[in-house]
Amino acid sequence: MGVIKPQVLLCILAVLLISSCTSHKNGDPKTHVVEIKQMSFVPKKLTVSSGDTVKWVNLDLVTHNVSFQDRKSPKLEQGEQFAIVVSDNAEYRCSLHPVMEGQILIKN
Amino acid sequence: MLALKNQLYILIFVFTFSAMGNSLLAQSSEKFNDAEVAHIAVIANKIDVETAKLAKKKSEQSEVLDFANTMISDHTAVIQKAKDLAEKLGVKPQKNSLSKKLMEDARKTRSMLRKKSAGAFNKAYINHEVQYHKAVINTIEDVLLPDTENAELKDLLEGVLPALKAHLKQAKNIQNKVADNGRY
Repeated sequence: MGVIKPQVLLCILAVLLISSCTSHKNGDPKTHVVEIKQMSFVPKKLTVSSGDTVKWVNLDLVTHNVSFQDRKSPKLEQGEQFAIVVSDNAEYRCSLHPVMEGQILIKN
Repeated sequence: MLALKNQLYILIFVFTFSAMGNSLLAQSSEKFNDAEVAHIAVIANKIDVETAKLAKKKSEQSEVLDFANTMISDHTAVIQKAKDLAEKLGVKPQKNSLSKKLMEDARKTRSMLRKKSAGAFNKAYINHEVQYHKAVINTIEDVLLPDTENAELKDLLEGVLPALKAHLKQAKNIQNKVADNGRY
């Protein structure tokens, strides 16, 4: 009692090491998914870190695109997707259905 | 209960189609089976595709042309889905009084639109699109959905509603621009 066996100590160290790696990974770029469904971008407003990837997936019956001020995705048929790495705040819409709007905000 | 439902149909048809100048009172008390609902769905979409094709010939205004292109793309996709589903279910879309009336009215509308000059056409087309989408949305919600028995056909009709509502909003935005500055 009171003495930690080497095997247990190794296990604790391993857990700490894995936990440390996981924390590091949390700082890595992430991928966020925006679903296009029922003629909306869901979520409509998405907050991400600079360098993260945002992926749009069209789940609607009809074709959509993701259109920014300076560029736009190809037309996305049902089931198709489009992804970009983001570094700035951006507003976008579907240029085929301009009533559909979305926003990306970069965390400070 | 059935009588009440029939009265409701009459009110709905008077409300929706009188706004379009199209009275369907004579058919208002009918109940439609799934094959008939499928035919109405296909025809209603085909009509808007044909009207949009006319818009592409007559209009030179980019916003109207973009809208017409979207109508062709979206309604063609819905027609294909409806046809695929009918085939899967082994249902042959069946002509009926409402789909025939829709086709008759569409012929008259296209004839009216063809006679318009370019500027007047844009306004008339967008006004028509606003009224047509309102009428189709009301008809799906209040007549077709309650009549439809097959769950997949019901899902398709429900799935189409958000697109129709987005089209309506888009058409109203263009209509307001016309009203604001008369630039079309």
